Amino acid sequence: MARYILQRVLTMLVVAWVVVTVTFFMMKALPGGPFSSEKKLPDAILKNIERRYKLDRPLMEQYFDYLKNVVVWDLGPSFKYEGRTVNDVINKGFSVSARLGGLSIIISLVLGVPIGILAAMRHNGLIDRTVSGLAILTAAAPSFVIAGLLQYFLAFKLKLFPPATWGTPEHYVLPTLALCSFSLAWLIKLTRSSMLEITSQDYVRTARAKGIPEFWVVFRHMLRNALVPVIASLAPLTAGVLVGSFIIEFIFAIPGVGREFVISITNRDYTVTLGMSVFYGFLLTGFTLIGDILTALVDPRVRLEKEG
Amino acid sequence: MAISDSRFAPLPDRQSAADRITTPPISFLKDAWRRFKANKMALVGLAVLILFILAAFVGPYFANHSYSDQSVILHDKPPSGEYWFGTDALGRDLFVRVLMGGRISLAVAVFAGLLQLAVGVAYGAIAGLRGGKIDNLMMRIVDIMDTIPLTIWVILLAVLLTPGLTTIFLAIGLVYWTNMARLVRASVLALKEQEFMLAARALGASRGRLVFRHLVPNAMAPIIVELTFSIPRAIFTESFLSFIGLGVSAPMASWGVLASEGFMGLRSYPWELAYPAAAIILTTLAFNFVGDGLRDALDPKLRR
Repeated sequence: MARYILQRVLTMLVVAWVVVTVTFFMMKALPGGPFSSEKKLPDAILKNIERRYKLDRPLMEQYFDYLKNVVVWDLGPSFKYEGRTVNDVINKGFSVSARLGGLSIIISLVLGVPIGILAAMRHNGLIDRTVSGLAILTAAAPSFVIAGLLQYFLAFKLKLFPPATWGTPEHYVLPTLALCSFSLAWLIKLTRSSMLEITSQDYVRTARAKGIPEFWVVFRHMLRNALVPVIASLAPLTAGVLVGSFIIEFIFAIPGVGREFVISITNRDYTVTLGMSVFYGFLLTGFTLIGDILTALVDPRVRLEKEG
Repeated sequence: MAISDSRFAPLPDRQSAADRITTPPISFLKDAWRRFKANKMALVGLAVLILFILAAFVGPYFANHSYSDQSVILHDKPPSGEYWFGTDALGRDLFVRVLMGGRISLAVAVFAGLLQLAVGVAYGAIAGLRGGKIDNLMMRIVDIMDTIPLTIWVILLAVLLTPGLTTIFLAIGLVYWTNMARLVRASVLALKEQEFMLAARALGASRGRLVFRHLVPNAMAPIIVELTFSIPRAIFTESFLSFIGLGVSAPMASWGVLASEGFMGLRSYPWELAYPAAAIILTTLAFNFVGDGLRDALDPKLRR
């Protein structure tokens, strides 16, 4: 197990390094420098600014500087707004985004897994058909369409919840619903198909043949195996919620990191866009690592196969 | 009593009929089509897709309005007999714009799909065929790409290159091939140990011939199925990019651009979001159903 974890940690370090390197060279490949604007600066001043930001150094030196900065968690300044750094943006918005994203993931798990199990237990029954149909429909709608529907009907028409902004608990409802819709639908489908696959396995038939009550067959025998793909999907699930949060935070005017990311893209604030990509990259490598370790803990087959 | 010969008829030749225990021979494609037809949702999906493609590429020629004509007086009109889907904030006919948007969204999806097909199939086939260290390295690269959501890579590429139609399908096509590569590699690994591969090798087939004449055709079923599922993903990503301002530029519009424009006036003019959104959802559903149908039709073993 220790060997497996070490292996995964090393892989994830490589991933993180690749992300940093790719973003660095992307930043360098951008057409024009960060200070080339419509109003042309005199060359001397441009040189001064470039010296200030060490942009006159050789490329490799800049690259190692950047690596060093990232290691001490300094993701660089904005080249568009003065006195603003990527770290500021993240520090300011992270707690809001974490709460919104965390809530969405928890709701998807707490609702999605049991509903998926229920649908699988009533295979082809009324519940199964309704739930599967709804899940397919929800997964086919882009998150901003769901957000639009919720805003239009629940906020504008019925006036049940505030349509946007952030603050009281009521403000959480619509964005959380919009954000978790896709992951919820996906988890329901995943749990359902994974349960259905296991229903036909020999050991389940044996358990039933021994006369074990259906409840215990499901919870003691099937669930552990059925949950393996669910746990393995935790990292992609987080990734989905994270990407979804870009648009949801933007639509609902929530002061989180996702909104800042979208704003940096629309403002062409390249250093912030890239710096935040590095941040997202680290966040996701972290989640992938946790997901991998959890999967290996639940399913010995995974670690044996990967180690062998 | 005499019975005339004319009232007798020879019995059918039961024996030789019984010897023929097979159904009449039908080709693989006919067989697949027969299985596909049995799936009603897949047929509906196929019909919807054909309808949408026809509407998008032929429809605008029959429309009374142009997709780019603006009119200040006619802005934000609700759906009517004259303007079937109403008009947008600049008084442009939304029906024609949704049709034209379909051209772009479908084209993006198809081009991105083809690009991803080319890259993913080649990559997966090479990894699977070479095996060993090369395979390991190539698949680690795919793992690294997959750890970061592909959407973020697409955003980075789209930010780097100048926004526009070409950028979108390049960005999507250059990134979304990892699933395809994994799938082709798995098929190649399974196929390459089979006897027909040994035979081809023994007859001195070159590596290229092995890949393109023997491996890829045999792996075609999963490839086609993956393609149908990847097209809605591309449409999603395109609408996502449009929504954050990295989409095609005016007066052209994709469904994503139309939806994000419609979003601005959601409170007062909900139809401006509803129609493009419905187009995206229906297309996604249709592709999913067709994909399911194809999976069952092309590979009966996979049937659940």
